[in-house]
Amino acid sequence: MEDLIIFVILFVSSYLIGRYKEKRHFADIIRREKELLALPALTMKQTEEYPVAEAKLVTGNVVIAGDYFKQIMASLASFFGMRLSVAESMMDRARREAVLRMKEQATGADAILNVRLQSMKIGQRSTITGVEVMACGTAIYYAK
Amino acid sequence: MKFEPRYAEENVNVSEQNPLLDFVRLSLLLLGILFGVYLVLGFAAEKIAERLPPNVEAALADSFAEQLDYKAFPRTRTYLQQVLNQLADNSHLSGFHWQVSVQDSPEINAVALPGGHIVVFTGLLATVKSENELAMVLAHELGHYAHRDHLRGLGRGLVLLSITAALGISGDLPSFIIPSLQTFSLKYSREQEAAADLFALDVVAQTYGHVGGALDLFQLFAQQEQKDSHIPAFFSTHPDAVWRLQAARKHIRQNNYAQAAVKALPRAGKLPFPNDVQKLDGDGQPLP
Repeated sequence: MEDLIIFVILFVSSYLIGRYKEKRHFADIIRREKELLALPALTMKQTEEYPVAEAKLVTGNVVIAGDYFKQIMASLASFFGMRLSVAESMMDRARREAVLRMKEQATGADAILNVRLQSMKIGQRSTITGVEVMACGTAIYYAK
Repeated sequence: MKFEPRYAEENVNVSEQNPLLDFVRLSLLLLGILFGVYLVLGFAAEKIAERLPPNVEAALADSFAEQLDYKAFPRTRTYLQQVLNQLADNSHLSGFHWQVSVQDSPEINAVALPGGHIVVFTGLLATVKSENELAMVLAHELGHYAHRDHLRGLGRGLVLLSITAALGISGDLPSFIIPSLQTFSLKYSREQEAAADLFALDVVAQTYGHVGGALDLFQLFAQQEQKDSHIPAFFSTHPDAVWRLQAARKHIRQNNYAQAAVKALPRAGKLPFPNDVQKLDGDGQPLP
């Protein structure tokens, strides 16, 4: 019985806190994405038109934790093999945050080329303690 | 052409689902599947276990019989065995030589194991006040043999164990899944306990000519259950003492079983008998 009470408390509080945090993070991501919209992050390797004056490596790295609720959902969904929407939102947050951080590092750049994203799960076996996403690219400055 | 950045407002990478609804849907589905598997496999295992011939059952019992201590509390054990033999003679049961052993444990419980091995815990013996109460306890265990509950429980237990093991391998599932399966199996065992009670009443009435005192112990448990919010271990496998007591009373009325004075416990009048230890010789070997 005690186990069940602890489970319900953990489950509900983790769901509510997790939802709230996620909502706030998404709002923050959207605001910053709009601010940095003028700086394109591209997967192409070189520009055709302009001469490049300077190029440098920029990286953005983020780790997002998977809460208790997400872990439970993940184990349930893994039993049936279905879309895991709680993990989708976690991955989406991590990817976009990583790209944003990369863009923030490229101060004054005209574009970021050859952008690559890498993700990694943090946690033992089937548990998801968190996900790490790293974005890296080449920030270029055109010759004026 | 000039570069014109545009912002995509819609997020295509995250499914628009309420995760809480998903959780409820999946949990119910999983529980449904598990209950189904448990019902079907449990029923099959029960039917197979029920039909185990006595020699197979005896072979099964050999695997654990060594762990039962038939030398503990020798005088108490002999007395229990006498009472049990009387009951068995009056019950028309066949198949085994029933053996009772006393286990030193505060648990208020007794168990019927395959192969005719009955184990009574000292915690239960300490609450027994008359021979009739004791006879009721032992006859109740005989009832489990009569209905082959000890084997049916084994079959179901095996299925439950397999399901739990399979779930354990497949990942860390929510902790409420397995307890809810076990609750179901408890509810199922309530019926078996009540059936064993009725069998025990018949045997006690046959042996002593009346059922006086037989229900005293159950009455005590029922009273305790009503006033105790903290449930003792006995009820975890023997639930709803009040419900069982009512069923037993109804059975007594229907069969017009007589009530008469109880037979007192021999010697000190309490169980297990005081100073009931095995006498050892100089080499630590038990004296005959």
